[in-house]
Amino acid sequence: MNKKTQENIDGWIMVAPIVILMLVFVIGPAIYSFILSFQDYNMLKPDKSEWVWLGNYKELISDPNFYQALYNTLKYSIIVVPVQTAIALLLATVANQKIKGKTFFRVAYYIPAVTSAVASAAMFMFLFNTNGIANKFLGIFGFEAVSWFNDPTYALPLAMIMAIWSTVGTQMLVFLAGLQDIPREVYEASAIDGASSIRSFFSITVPLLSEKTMFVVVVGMIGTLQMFDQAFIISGGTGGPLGSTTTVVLYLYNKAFGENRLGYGSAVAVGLFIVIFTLTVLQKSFFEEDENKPKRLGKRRKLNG
Amino acid sequence: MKKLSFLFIMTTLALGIVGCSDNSDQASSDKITLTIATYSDPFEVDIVTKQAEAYMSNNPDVELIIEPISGDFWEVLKTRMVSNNEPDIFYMDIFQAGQFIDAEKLASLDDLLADEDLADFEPALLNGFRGQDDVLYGIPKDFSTLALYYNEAMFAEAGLKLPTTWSELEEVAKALTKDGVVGLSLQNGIDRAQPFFYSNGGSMMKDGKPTLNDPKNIEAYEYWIGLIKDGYAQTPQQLGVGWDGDAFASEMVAMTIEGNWMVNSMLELAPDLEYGVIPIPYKEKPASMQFTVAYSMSKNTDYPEEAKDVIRFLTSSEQQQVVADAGRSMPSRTSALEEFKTKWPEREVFADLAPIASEFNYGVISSTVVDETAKAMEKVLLDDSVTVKEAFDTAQANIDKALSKQ
Repeated sequence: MNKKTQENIDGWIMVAPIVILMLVFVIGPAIYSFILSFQDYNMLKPDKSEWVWLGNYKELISDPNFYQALYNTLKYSIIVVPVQTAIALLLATVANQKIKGKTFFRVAYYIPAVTSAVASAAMFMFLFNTNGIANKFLGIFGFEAVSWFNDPTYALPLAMIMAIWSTVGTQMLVFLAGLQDIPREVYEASAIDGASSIRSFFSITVPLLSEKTMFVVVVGMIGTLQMFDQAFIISGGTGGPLGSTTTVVLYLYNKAFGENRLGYGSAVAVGLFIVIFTLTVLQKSFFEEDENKPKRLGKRRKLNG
Repeated sequence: MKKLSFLFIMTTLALGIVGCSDNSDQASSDKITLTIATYSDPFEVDIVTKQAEAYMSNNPDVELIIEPISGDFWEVLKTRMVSNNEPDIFYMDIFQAGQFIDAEKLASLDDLLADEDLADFEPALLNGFRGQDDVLYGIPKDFSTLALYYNEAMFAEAGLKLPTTWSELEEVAKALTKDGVVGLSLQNGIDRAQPFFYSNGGSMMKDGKPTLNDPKNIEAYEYWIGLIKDGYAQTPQQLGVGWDGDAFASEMVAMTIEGNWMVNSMLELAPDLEYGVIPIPYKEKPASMQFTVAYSMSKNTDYPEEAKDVIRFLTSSEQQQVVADAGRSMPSRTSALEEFKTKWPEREVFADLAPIASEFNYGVISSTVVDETAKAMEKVLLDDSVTVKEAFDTAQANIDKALSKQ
């Protein structure tokens, strides 16, 4: 055995635990679910399952409830992703300043991210019910008290607020790491050139962070398109009021575990996978075009230096 | 490097062996082990644990393991059935029973009870656990019914008589709606509205199929939603509370329709509040609704006879009394129910409703029926342009579609 193969074997042994975990809990189920999507598979009657091939997909493309769920999910994603990215960037910039107690702020912003979704949803439902604190506060400005999670107009926005509140912390951390990677002299140079802090934020910070932004946006988008827990808790699993919080994942959950139709549920999952995959590829190409900018900036810096 | 990988392999192997030996340990013991799955609610776990201890002290060769299932009990049970790994004995809600019976996942319990024992159970409670073939698949352990709670002080102050019919209910609700108090708190769902359907001569099931859009049901729901739209009744959500019990305990409403479990909650929420309970006002005939939980047995159990003996013990008169003493639900045996009534006179009304209580059970796709009905009722409540008939017809179409996919 030569040294190379020995190293390879050692490497595989080292990563074996996570590879096995991935195979058993992620890749295996995903493949199995893909196979199930071609079957009419009742969870309680597995022996009576039939191969229906594209039958589930045919039903899927003519299922108005699926489109409603997809519409809700996309609406949710389109609002949540940009807002949470912007807030996370802002918070990261603030937390990166030399201000007193910045560790406290970093921790405080991150706490929601480590709070379980169920706990925070319960808390939000307490805050946002008709007699809740949020309504009392808005009442000061003359807003009428509404029961947020029971009103079809406000239930999804409530889920959005919840999602933004709980994820900006993680994203802030990513941006913070990115900010600390930006060399100080770039800012110094721009200051000498007379750039204002706002100008240097938009001309230096934002473009140099574009890789992190790409990461945050893609991860955020995938996360929001897979939204389940907030919707489940707000609506008690039904996706109400009036279907306004039915997300794709909640819909497939109800189909698979409520109606026992694992096959159709899997087809919905594959449908969602296709949507997410397409959007991610589109985003990637969009960001890659954009990436030329920081590269040019990098080159120029070298020349100047 | 070589040493390291060797070490790693050895550790993995060692762990694997430890993991395997766990199983062989169990098999080698001469005790019969049976698992009983319960809801994870500490209240339930506590009772069943005590019962299991009592059983084990009389049957030293049987070991009962209580397995509280947290999260969605039914989802967990189903997924474990897929892998043939379900507990030997488990709770079976009347509302879920249909699909498990249909999928032939439950063992027949026909020979578990002698005929005279069986006659001790209220027939209405047993029916939900019978298959199309009339085989019994679950022995009810306890049940609950719905009735009307009213605030005594508010009725006395307004000088009102207790309502027995729909029109009287509407009148008192109207009279009691004043000074920031609403007449009635109604949770807008089939699990509270159903008594109205049946008291109007409607029905939720015909020939084993859900019949939500029965004209009589539609008429009954029009009455129900009318109370809300006129402002004499409100849903807990509209009142900004979690459930009827909170609204009633904090005197936001004068009446509500709830089950006997609320008696217990009231002791906690408002111990000093004077209230009474009467049957739900009716139109054509009195009606209520029952929620029953039974013990069922897995078809895959290794020890069916022993498991049956455990179920026999758990549903015996004596053990039902233990459950009833805890105060949340009522014993399913008539003999035990009589004792219950003398012990808890204020809960007698719930016990007496058992024979006229319709089942919270809609066959194979119960959960779809409940979801679709909830959506339809929500639509009628929130969207004034939708009529009850339109909403119920849509829901019925979805129910029929889901049923055809089973």
